[in-house]
Amino acid sequence: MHAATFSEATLEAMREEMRRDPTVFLMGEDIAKQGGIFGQFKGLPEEFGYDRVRDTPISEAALVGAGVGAALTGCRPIVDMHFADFITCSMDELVNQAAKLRAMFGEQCVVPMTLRAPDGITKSAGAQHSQALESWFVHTPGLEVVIPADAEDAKGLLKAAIRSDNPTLYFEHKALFPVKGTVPDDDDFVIPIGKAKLARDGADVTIVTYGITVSRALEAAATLETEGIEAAVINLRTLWPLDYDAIADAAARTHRIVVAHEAVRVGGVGAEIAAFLGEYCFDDLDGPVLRLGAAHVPVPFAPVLQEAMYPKAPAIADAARRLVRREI
Amino acid sequence: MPVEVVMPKLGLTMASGTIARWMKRPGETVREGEPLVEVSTDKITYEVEAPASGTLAHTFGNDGDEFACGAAIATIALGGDDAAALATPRPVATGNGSPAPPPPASARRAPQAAPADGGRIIASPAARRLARERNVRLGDVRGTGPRGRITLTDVHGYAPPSESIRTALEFPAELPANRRPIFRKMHAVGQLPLAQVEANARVDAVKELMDVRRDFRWTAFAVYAAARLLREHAGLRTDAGTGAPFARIGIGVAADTPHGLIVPVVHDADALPLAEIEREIIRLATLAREGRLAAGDVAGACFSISNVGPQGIDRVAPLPDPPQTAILGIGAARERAAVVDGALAIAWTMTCVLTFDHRFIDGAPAARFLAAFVAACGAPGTLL
Repeated sequence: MHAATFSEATLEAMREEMRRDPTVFLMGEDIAKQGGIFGQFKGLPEEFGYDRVRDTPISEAALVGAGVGAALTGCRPIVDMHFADFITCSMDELVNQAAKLRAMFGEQCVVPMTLRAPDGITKSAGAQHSQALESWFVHTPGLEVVIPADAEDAKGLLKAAIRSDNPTLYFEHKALFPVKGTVPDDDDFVIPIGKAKLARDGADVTIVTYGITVSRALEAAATLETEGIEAAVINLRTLWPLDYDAIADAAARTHRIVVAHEAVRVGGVGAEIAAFLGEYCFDDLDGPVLRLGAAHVPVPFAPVLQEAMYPKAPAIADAARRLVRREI
Repeated sequence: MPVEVVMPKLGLTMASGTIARWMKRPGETVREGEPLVEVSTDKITYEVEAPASGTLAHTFGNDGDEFACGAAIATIALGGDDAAALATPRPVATGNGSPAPPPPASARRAPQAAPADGGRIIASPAARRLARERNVRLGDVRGTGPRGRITLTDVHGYAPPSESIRTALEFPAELPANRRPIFRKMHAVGQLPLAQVEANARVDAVKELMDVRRDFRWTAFAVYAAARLLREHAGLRTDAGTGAPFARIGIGVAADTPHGLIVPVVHDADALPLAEIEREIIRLATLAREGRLAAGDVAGACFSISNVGPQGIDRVAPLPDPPQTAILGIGAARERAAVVDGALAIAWTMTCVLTFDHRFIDGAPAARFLAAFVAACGAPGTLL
C-alpha cells in the first residue's frame, strides 16, 4: 500500500492500464496541454505522447461519438467529460449508440469505452456544474455505472471500467480529488464491478450509500457509536449492476435501512433500493426505509443555500438514530 | 468491564434454552473460545464458548434451568474487574421460569396497547414474522413504536401468559437433563387429538428400481415420494402455529443416536433428486451421531418420516412433532404372502402408518395422501 490522493490514484490507474494495453487512450477537453482541471492527467502526454492523450474541441457530442467509434473498432478509449453536467450534450451518442450497440448487433461488437464524469457539489460551482446524474444511467440498459468513494476505489474501479467490455460511466466527485488515501501497489488491483463493500459493520442499522456520501455516513456512524448505536455502512461502489444481494443481506441482519446520496432524492438510486427492499425484503424490515438525498431544486449558487440542500453526516446520523430509537 | 455470557439463539424458532451442564465452575480461569457450558434446546445440544478470556465470576442457574434467548447465564471478569463483587445474584431463572427480558430502550413515549380487535394492529413486517414464528398473537403484544407500532423489540420482550404447558410441567426428579426437551414435547403431544390411517403398500417396483440404481434406500424413497406429494396435499403440511401450510417442504427424518432421538431435516426435499436425498440423509445421520448438527439442520421441517425397517420391525406409528401436524411411519419392506390377481403369491410389501393432528387434518385428506403414497410405491416411475 502507498499514500495517494484520489486524483493521483486515477492517474496511476490510467498510467498502469495504458502501459498494459496499447489500445487504451485518452480524449477530452484541456487534458493534454493543461493536464486536466484537477491535475488528473498530469504527466501522461510525456510518457504516452499526444496521440494517446488527445485534446479535443469543445463538443461533447463529437467527443463521445469519437469514443464510441474508437471502441467499436478495437480501442479502449477513456473519454473525459470535464464536468458530468456536460454529458447532456452527448446523450444521443451515449444512450442511443453506446448503450445499445452490443445488444442490437447480437453481441457481434462491444463498446469498451470509459466515460470519466466529475460530478457533485463543490464550492458554489452553480446549478450547471454541481449535479449528480447517475440515476439517469442506472435507468438506461446497456451501461455500467461505477462511483468511487475514496482513493482505493478510484484506482480499482477506474481500472475495472477500462478493462470492462461495456460502456462504463465513472462518476467521480470533484470534492474527492484532493482527498488523501491509500492504494494497493499491485498493478493488477481491480475492484470487481457489481460488488458492494461493507465499509463498516454494525448490528442496529445499515446506511446504504456510495460516492462521497460514504465518508459522510462513516462520520455519522462514528457519532452514533458514542451513543451506543452500531451502524453498518455499505459502500455500493457500482450502481449498475447493483449488488442487490448485499442490500438484502443488510436488511436481514440489521432490519433497519437508511439510504443516502448527494443526488436528488426524488427518482434517485435510493428510490430503487427502497423499492427493492419493500418488494423483496418486506418481512425483514422493522421500520420504514429512510431515503436521504438532495432537495428537488437546482443546486443554489448561494453558499448557505447550497450547503443546506444535501445530506451531510448530522442528517444521516439523525435518520439512523430515529430509526433505531423507533421514533419513525 | 465484565463480559456477559448469554443464552444463544440457535434458530429462528428458538425462544429459550436449558442449561445441560456447566463445564466450568465460578472462580475458574477461562480462555476465549473455550467451551463453557452445554445448553440444550428441544432439538440439539450445543456448547457455548467463552466470549472472552478471564475469570468465570458467576453462573446464573443450575443444570436443567431454562433461560430465554439473550438472557445472561454467566459473567466473566476481565483483568481489572473485581470477580467477587460481580457474583451478586441477579434476577435469574429458577426451575422452569424464564427471566424477564430487559425493557425496550426507548421508554420515553407512553406505550400504547395495540388494539386487540376491530382496529388494524400496527406492527412492523419483521415483528409480524417473528410473532408468526413464535406463535405469539400480535394483539397480546404491547407496541412501543410510533403510533403504538409493534416492533421486533416488543415481540422479543413479550412474555407469554403463565398458563403455558411449560410452567405447568414438573419433571421427575431423576430425569436426565437431556431428556427434558423430549419429555416436555411428548407431554404436549399427549394432549393432541391424534388419529391414524394405515395401509399395506406393494413395493415390488421400488425394490426393482433400487436394485437397478443402487443409489437410494427405503427412507430416501419415502422422503422423495412424500415431499413431492406434499406439494399438492398442502393440508398434510399444516403449521399448527399458524393454521396455514408451511411454505417450504423440509422433511424431518427420525434418527437414533447415542444422545437419543434426533430428527434432522432434509430441506426443500421436493426439489432434490432421489440420489441426493439419500446422500443428504447419510450426511445428516453422520452429523447427528457425532453430535455436530447445526441449528439449521434440525429446524424447518413441515412433515416427518420414521423408518423402523432397518431394525426389521414391521410397523411403527410415530407421533407428530409440533408445530408439524402429521408424520409417516414405515416398517420393514420384505417379501410376504400377498394375493395377486386372485391367487396367493409372494410380493414385496411395506406397512405405512400416517398419524395426524385431527384439529387440522381430517381422515379423508389423510387417506387420500396415504393412497397417493401407496400408488407412488406401486409405480415410482410416475414421480421420477
